[in-house]
Amino acid sequence: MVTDASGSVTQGNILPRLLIVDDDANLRRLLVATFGYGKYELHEACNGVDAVRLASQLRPAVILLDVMLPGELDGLEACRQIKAQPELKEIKVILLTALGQQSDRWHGELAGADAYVVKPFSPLKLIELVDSLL
Amino acid sequence: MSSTNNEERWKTAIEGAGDGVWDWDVGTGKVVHSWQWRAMLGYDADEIGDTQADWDALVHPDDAEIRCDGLERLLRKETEVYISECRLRCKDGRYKWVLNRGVIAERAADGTPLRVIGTFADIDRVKTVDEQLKSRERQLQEILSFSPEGVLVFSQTNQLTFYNQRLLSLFGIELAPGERLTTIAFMEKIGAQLDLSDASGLFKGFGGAAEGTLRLLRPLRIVKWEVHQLDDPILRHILFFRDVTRETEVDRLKSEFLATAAHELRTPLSSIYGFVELLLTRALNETDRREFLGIIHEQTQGLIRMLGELLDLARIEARVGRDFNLQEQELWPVVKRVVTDFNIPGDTRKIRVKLSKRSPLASLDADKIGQALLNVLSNAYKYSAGKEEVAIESVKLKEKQANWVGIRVRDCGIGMTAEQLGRIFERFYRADTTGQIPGTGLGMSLVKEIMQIHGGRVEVASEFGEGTEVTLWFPEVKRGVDGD
Repeated sequence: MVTDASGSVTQGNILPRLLIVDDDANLRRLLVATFGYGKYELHEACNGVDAVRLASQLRPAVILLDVMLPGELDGLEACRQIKAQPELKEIKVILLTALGQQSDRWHGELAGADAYVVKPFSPLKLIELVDSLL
Repeated sequence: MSSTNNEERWKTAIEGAGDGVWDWDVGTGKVVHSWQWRAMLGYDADEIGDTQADWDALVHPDDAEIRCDGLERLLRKETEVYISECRLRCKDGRYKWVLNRGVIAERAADGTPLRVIGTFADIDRVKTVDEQLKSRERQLQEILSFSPEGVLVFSQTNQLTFYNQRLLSLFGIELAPGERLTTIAFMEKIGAQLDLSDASGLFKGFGGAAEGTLRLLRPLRIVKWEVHQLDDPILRHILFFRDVTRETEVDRLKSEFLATAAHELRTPLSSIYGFVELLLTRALNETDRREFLGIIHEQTQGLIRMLGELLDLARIEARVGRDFNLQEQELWPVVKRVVTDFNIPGDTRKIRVKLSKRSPLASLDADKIGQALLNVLSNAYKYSAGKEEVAIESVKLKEKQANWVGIRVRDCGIGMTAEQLGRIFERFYRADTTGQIPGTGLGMSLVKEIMQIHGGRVEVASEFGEGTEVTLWFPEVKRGVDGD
């Protein structure tokens, strides 16, 4: 069954799904701690390939996606692939990046990201951002 | 009689103008010259005979052929006027440039030339100035040929009027000496080397834009150009081309380094900033609190380490080893000290040390080498957690130029792929991207810099999944005869 992102909020018992993608274990821990207070259903991945696979399997409402990922698929490319699939393109993608140049932001927009967050970020502001996209 | 009078009058007029007159009887070969001829060359009236052969004898050997050829062509009626420039020997032995002109004055009934008359003029000054000009031009060429900038000049009619050797080498083209090219033909010649957008920029330069940058494709080069417009028909556009590849590359490396450094600082800062915010705003249980504080502590340590290594690198680079205290000493005590002090919390493995009995001598800074070895040892431990012990052994290498002694650190850890191995000395490069194994990505860069200042080198061999072997090589210092 496909979880409808806007529906899930109103349907009380179904929590919005969040997919956290970062190769740095500490950063994943931080994101899990940030969102792990019972209002979201959390899933984790540490590379781009798993991110795309899980996006299709779990249909999360929001993906928090690190840009610099090891392996064949970096965050930008993973974002592009997710947004290229009609049945996945409603998923909101927030790019997390340690690169703060204007051109990087622009690359993120080109890849179809819904938001762009530069590290270090405020966990509370990130929660606000995620909620605003739900 | 009147014709002779007429002739006399002409002769007088010509001689009055400073030129001489000659009159050659082709049949007899006799030549009658006006007195200026001899005076001009410094001879007295009776010092030169009156045959053509006597005059031929005065002609500079290099010019004889031109002169004879010119006269013959006149006699063969191939030309109406004989003109030649030749050098004649003066009485004092110097040569003087003379312009000779002549026409056939009398012919036989069958047209055979009987008499040639002509004038001669002293053009020595003109010739000297001409020579000076040419020599100046050669000097100018010579100077510009050493110019580090390529120079190119086009005339008002878009003809190539000047270029130097540097220009040719910069663009990797050849031009035949004296080859005339239009601006467009020149552009076509270098066109294969250019990016199209750059080329149009250069073209616009002729219109007004005074400078710009070109990327040359083969070999890859960055070239800065500037155009100067003059109000001179020959020197209409003067272009200078300067190879700025190196400067550009250094700039690029610098900004790349800064970008990477910023990126590397952001990652630990994200953890610290984030967890601190959670600690401040959330009611956390003791377990979480301790965990978060632990991460913050560890990440802060990482930042401190990175800062230290960055400063070390910067210091080594800026000072190029001037603050290294290199002293001839035994190598093994330095190794043993590092091994004794070495301690990784939570890792109980001992280092297996196998050094030759007698320590080799090397010129080294014990602190710096200790730091390098410590970096290598830490890596060996970090990347082989839970595996066999790390080993240090001494190795030797004989080469024609020098003998090398080495300290080899071997682990049976996770090893590196060829790609990872190829990037090991890259600043901030981490084989581990998960954040599980702490590190700054600067350690091996430091080791390399330190070894270079010691005249040594770092050798790394690795097998993915099998382990890594790092050898620090030092040029061995020969011991004195007494073995000390």
